[in-house]
Amino acid sequence: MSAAPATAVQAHAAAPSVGSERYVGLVTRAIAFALDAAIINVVAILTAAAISLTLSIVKVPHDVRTVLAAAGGVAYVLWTVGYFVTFWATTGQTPGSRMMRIRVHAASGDRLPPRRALLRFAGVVVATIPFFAGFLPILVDDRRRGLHDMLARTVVLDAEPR
Amino acid sequence: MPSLGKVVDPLGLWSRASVAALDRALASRWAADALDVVLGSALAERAVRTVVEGPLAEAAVRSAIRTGLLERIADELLESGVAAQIVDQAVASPRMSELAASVLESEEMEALVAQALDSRLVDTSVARVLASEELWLVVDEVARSPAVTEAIAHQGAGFADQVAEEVGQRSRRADARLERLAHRLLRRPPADDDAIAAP
Repeated sequence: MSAAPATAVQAHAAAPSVGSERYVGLVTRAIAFALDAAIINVVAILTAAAISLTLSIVKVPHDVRTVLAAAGGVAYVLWTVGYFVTFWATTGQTPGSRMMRIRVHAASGDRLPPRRALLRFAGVVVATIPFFAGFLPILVDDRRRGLHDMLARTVVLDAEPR
Repeated sequence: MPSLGKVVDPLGLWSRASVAALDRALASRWAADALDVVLGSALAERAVRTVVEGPLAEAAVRSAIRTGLLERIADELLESGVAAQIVDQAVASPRMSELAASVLESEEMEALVAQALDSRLVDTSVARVLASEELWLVVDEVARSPAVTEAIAHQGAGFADQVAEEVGQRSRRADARLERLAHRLLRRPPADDDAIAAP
């Protein structure tokens, strides 16, 4: 989910770039995440289709096909992880977040370091496993943080004052 | 052979005296009154009508056209700028605006325009314009112009912004509604919007 993990209380009070913007809730973040998933999958499907078409006219041994399929799986995972980590660690906005006008910040208000962006992605995966229960804290937390936000100490804010 | 005038009045005194007498007569009040009487008379009116309706006037017009008098007058008016001045004054006058407005709003003009639009001439002209290759070249040129493409792109971006804004507003309202529901289910006090806002 493009939402952001959370913050320590002291960092919350000292967040200079957070300003008076509002934390973003579950529905908006879910829509942003769905948009990102659509982008990721459309690119992946188009790439896979191009490779499959190429392989369909070239005779490739069965074992090589298996290896290519495994490589494709790995590439898909890398592409997905790279997509989120790169955007969170650079602009703080994935394309989906940009469309929904939200941004991921470190709780201190700074830009999210890549390592914490990676941790946040791992948190998203963990939050998804128990039937998305890891996202439910967003509904009751005072800063609208999910499990992944708490793990990576991030928050998700409106990208522009409303 | 000397003329009779020079013989009778070799110094021209008689002629000068006659001219002076005529001037005095024309300047007198009697002459003005007499002229008013003549001009106001039915005879004068008949004379004028006879001249205007008669062959004399037509001959004068024909002669003016044949000799190029009208063109010379028109050229003179145009070169001197008098014509432009007259047109400017006419166009700028409020009376002209009133006249134009009354003409444009008149039923006769409406009927005339309707008749013109219903005529075959318009259909033929439109068909001819649409069939011309030049028109499509112009349309193509306009469509490809930077100003038009920029305007279309701007409009598209504006529409996307509008959609994003609308979706954003609705999703944020849904955020708040869902949270109220969650708080109610958990029997927790409703979240305060100010508490949600970052400091």
